[in-house]
Amino acid sequence: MRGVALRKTVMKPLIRATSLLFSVLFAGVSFAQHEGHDHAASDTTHVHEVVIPTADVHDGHPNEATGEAHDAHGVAKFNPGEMIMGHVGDEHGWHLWGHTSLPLPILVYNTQRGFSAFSSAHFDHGHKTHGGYMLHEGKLVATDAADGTDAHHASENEALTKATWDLSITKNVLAMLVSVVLMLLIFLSVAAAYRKRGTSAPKGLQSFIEPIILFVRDDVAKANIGPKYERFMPFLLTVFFFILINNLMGLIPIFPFGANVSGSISVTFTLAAITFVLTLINGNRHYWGHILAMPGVPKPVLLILTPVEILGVFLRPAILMIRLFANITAGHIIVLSFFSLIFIFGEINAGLGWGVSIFSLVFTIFMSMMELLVAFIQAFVFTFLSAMYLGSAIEEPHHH
Amino acid sequence: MTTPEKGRKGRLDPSTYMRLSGMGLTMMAVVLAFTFTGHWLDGLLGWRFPLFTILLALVGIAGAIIHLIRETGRK
Repeated sequence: MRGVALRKTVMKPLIRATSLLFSVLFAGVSFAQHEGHDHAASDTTHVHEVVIPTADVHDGHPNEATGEAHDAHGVAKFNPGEMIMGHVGDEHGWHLWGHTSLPLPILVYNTQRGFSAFSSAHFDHGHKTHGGYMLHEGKLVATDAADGTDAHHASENEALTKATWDLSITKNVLAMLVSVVLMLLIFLSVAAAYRKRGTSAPKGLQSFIEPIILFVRDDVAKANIGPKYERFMPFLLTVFFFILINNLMGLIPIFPFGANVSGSISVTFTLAAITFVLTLINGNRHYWGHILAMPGVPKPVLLILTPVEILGVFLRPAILMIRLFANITAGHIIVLSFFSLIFIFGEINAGLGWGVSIFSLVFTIFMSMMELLVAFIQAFVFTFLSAMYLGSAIEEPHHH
Repeated sequence: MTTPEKGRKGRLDPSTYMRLSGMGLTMMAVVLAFTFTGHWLDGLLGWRFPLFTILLALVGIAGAIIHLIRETGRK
């Protein structure tokens, strides 16, 4: 009873605070979008008014990573939408600061042109074409224009784009490789510690990782899968630590961290697909029997329930995918929105920008703390639900 | 109000609410899937009255509710 009362007293103000926060935030975002729109409109009028034959055509196109669009006078305008989406999404090349970014390898296979590899620096942040390719709104597309043509004037060859497979080492791929190296370092050292120390008390990194491993084993695997949990432990532990480490890496804003790996739908899709395939492979007679013809249900109801259950087989991994993606991406967007507020107000008045920055900083710190919690919770939820689906797939019929 | 399932140590068993955490989306997807199947069938048949859209939408709603009752009633 105490637990319930405590939950009520704690949860109510928390929910109220969160909803207040969201209403403030969304007011800010809609205001920001409105602002951005106005700027874009005024940009074009500027360009139309000042017709200089030698005008640099690059300006007036937003830089994805910095969210800056220049008008004809070269004055930087802040576009929060571009900035946030540039940070949350994937990139060819890793933006570091200002106009500095780390070029990454472009690996592209085209069924007609064959394989080609070059540095993303040749694209000049999407301003130039290279090797018959260019970046259009961050996507690699095929073009017939010669190397070094201005990408904003080159036209896309849509038939060739359809035959293109972009296998580039993008920002997210590189961040994922960094996380793999990090995981290998952690777990090889922990494994070595177990080999050396045997069953004696854990020490150092080992004593930090051990309770987490035991938590996944006891509260996630054993609780949901039952006695046959051992064969799924490698998968569950890998998924848990992969998501946790990538969530935490995404919260550190400096290179080589800060990519939005676990908030990328392709990554969460792959993770959910592994759970889905494992459930299908391991599903026993009892499991499929419950899906195709739920025992103890009258025939007419079965006619409705069976399609629902079959849909459920696909829906469960789909929801798994969406939940992780949405939670992590939302966290990143909220933090970036608070930062944007500083520059939105700073453009109106420098003093106002400084004033707002105090509130922005406080909220950003608060959100970052929340995100630390979310990073753990989402890794736990994904692993827990995966274990639960696997558990239901291998569950033996119990006789009453 | 039903009494929530208690796990070890008297805590709420996480599997109870974790299992139901995706219920909203599931219900929505079930209703939409049935409705669009009906819409597709109507397009195929070309009747003047969109019988299957309406019928399957209702069946979808019924299915979602049956599913909800079964899931929440399970121990």
